[in-house]
Amino acid sequence: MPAYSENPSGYSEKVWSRFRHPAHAGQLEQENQQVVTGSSRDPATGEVVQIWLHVEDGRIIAARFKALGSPVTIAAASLAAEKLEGMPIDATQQLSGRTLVKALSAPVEKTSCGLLVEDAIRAALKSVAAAQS
Amino acid sequence: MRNKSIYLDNAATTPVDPKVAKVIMQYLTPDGVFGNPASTGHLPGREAYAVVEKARNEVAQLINCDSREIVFTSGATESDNLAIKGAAKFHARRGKHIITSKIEHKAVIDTCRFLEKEGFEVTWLKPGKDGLISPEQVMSALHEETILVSIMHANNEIGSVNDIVGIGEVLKDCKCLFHVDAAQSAGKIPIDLQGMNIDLMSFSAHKIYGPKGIGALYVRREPRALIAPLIHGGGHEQGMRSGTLATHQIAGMGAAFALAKNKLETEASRLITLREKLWQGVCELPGVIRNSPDEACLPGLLNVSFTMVVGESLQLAASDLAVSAGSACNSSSAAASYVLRAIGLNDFEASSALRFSLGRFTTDEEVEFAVSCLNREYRRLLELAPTAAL
Repeated sequence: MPAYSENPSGYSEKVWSRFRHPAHAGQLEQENQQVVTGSSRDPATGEVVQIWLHVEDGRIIAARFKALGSPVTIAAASLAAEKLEGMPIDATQQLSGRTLVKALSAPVEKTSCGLLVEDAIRAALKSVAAAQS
Repeated sequence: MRNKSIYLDNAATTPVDPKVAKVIMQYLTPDGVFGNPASTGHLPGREAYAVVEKARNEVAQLINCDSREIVFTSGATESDNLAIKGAAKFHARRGKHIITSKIEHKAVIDTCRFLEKEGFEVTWLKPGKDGLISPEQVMSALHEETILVSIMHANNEIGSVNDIVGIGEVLKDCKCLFHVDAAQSAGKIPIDLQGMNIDLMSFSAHKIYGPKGIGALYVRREPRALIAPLIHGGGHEQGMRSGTLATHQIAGMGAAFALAKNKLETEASRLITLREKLWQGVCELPGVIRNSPDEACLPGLLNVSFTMVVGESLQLAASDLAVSAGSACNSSSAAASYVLRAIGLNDFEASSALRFSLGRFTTDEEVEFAVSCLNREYRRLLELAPTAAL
């Protein structure tokens, strides 16, 4: 039987490796009041992304994700969670769907996958803002 | 480079059977039969002519017709074009109405769309959930202007097998021609043209372990199916398809059809057993739908939607299996299969479909591997999905 072949996906190595081994997949316990979550859904494709953020003193100390999505969506969510960890809330604006897709060297046609992840992050951050106010 | 994948995409193409490859090699090099089959003024030409006629006979024997009714083409796409455009051009004065279905191969669909632009009226029949077009549907679409009915024998995506005997029966008293695209069915299920009212039938070699780039069109002699040629220049193939005949490919097609004839019954039953083993191995996974019909289906074909994940992700996660997905997933549009949409699947069901097509070289061990791979990767993707999305 065949051994796992190199990258057969047609996508970049960055997309492929994150799709095969999605770092930061999982969820955070929401019983902890400092944990917020947000999700987004693409009605056209049925893809769903949910992000959990543990925020302390205006800084994200842990981030996890779950995704029902295409390889680029899963890779973008994994990359976003990795980048978010340790990031001050104020700095999260710089993390856009487009930058995620670009950082993964994914096709520009897959920008919607990054935007879906961005929407989930924004939804989670709204909860932070609501808690603070 | 060795192909590492387990190949379960035999409906897309098959490898050339090694026995067929040996035959092909006899008709290429200086020490072989390399002459032009039309150059019958000398021995090399006459030898090549004999090779072509032997192959023509082998093709005819698989489908039980007269070898003079076989016209060699470059493949089923050209055969479909020749049948449909050729019939339309020849009979346009009598009428301009064509009947076909919504789930034909693109070679038929795009040709009919082209004719629509040329002023022909096309009736697009919608199949049932089982992917079948009934003789009654065809009969009710007929009218005085109908010159051609084109219905596929077996569907390339879901494997449904139409009742072409029944459709031929309802067309018996009609003046229109009946064309059948048999690219997927020939050599896999029996075709006996003596017991069928069919005027034109398209074939391909590479779907049954022959070489790519060669096919044939059956053109009935009695009563004569009249069509206009598309390619002119030399009057080869009784004037229906000009161009020097590709002896080696034709010989390969003949050998492939002869092999398929010998293996047809035992191979069909072996493939049905393997196909059902594959289905039994995945059918209890959550959200799985069998899109191929239980009955009236090609022996080696199984189309399944894995509705709780994105099809492209499962296809890539299970990338040790070479299978077709239900959508053009690497494109920006990710358009779901028109065949699956036509049989009633929604976009998500259609885009999460995988087509497994087993073939002559598929083993029991490979099917077991496929089952284990699909179970493992599907469950992995389910675990990755948010609970609220499931």
